[in-house]
Amino acid sequence: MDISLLKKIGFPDKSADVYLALLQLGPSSVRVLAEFCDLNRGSTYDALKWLQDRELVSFYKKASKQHFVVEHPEKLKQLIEKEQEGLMSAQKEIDRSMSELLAVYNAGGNRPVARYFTPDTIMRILTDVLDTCEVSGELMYRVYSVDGLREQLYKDFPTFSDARIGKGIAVRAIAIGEGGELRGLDERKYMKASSTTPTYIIIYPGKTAYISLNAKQEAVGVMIENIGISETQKGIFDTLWETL
Amino acid sequence: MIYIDFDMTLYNTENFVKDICDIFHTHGVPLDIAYEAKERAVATDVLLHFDYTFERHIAAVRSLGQDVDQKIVLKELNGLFTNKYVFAGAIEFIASLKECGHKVILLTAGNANFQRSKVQGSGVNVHVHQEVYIPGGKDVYVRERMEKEKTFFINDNGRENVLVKKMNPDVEVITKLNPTKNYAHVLEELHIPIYSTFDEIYAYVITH
Repeated sequence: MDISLLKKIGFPDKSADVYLALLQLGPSSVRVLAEFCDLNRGSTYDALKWLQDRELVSFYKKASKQHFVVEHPEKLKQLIEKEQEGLMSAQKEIDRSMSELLAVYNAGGNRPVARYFTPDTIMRILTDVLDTCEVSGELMYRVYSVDGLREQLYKDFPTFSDARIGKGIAVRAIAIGEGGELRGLDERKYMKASSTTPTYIIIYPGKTAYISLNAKQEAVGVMIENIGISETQKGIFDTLWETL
Repeated sequence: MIYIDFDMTLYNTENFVKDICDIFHTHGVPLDIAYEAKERAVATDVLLHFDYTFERHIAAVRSLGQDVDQKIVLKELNGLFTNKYVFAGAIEFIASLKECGHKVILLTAGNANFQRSKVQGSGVNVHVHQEVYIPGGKDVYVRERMEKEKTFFINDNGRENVLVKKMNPDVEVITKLNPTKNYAHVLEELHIPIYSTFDEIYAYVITH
């Protein structure tokens, strides 16, 4: 039997093992269960206690020894129902505590948070740009756009510009090198520069993202969540924009 | 018909694992991590199903924070597929079972490709009538192929043996003693004999 099924409903490893052993063996002493599951007696008792607390296992005495017996497997359904009730209750508790949790979360804004993106997850930066702009209400972001990376970045999200325009989000782009085109709600200026390791930079509310190519010429990135860094980059971008 | 297990029944897997871990150790991996990684590499989510391969072991070692060169380590590990781990007397034991007119089937659980490399490296495959590689679930495998003829099941894993016996009460299950595991009480309750030598197992087979 697949143990992960029991783990999904909250069984610790050893309790899952002992539960299945009881199903297979029938009524058994702790000594037999411990041997069968290759556990010491203490761990076996702990596992049995966990199962007893959830009414999945009971015991009876035979010749002054405790023998454990598993309850009908239908009890597992009751356990799931109880877990669901517990989760519903926890969700309500979290809803009530959300403002407090957010206060603690926002207090962490003084230190930058960095997130890394692989070629498989790089698209999440683009969705984050749209989500962040939308949530913050600041419907414009800035990019340093470079040839070669642009194609890699948008290949898994070819409708990005349409989605951006649909949300009313504008973009101001400084294109390093040639290429790129206007798609709507965008402004573009060009800057001459050459680099063997170009980096595509996105500056958006409270965050900056840096995308470059790895050794396999795939797009990888890091996103830094920090208002200070974002605002500084924004200031540099705007100053440069005025000079172009 | 006789189903006979491979690991720790005909083959000294304990020494095989020791040599594997020693190779990792020569590449800077602490022994406790090499053994812990082995446990992780063996385990699957399904009870008594196994999936050990050298590649999974290397991946588990890496997941425990150790950096090893897969190509170099793998080359050394592949050198362990030899016949030096076959228990003394194992080949003669198989031959004597065949002489009694039994069909001898090697039944081993684990990653099929890996187990096949191990079995073929050991040379045991040429002595049995048939080799069967399954991920696990020997109890079900035996039940689905039960015939009228007398069937024996020889294996070191007490847990598998209990399940085989429970699911197939007519099968004569014999446990080959595995010094690293103790199943004495659970096997006693089901009257499953335990023997430490091939001679004892052979004596049991010819008298039952």
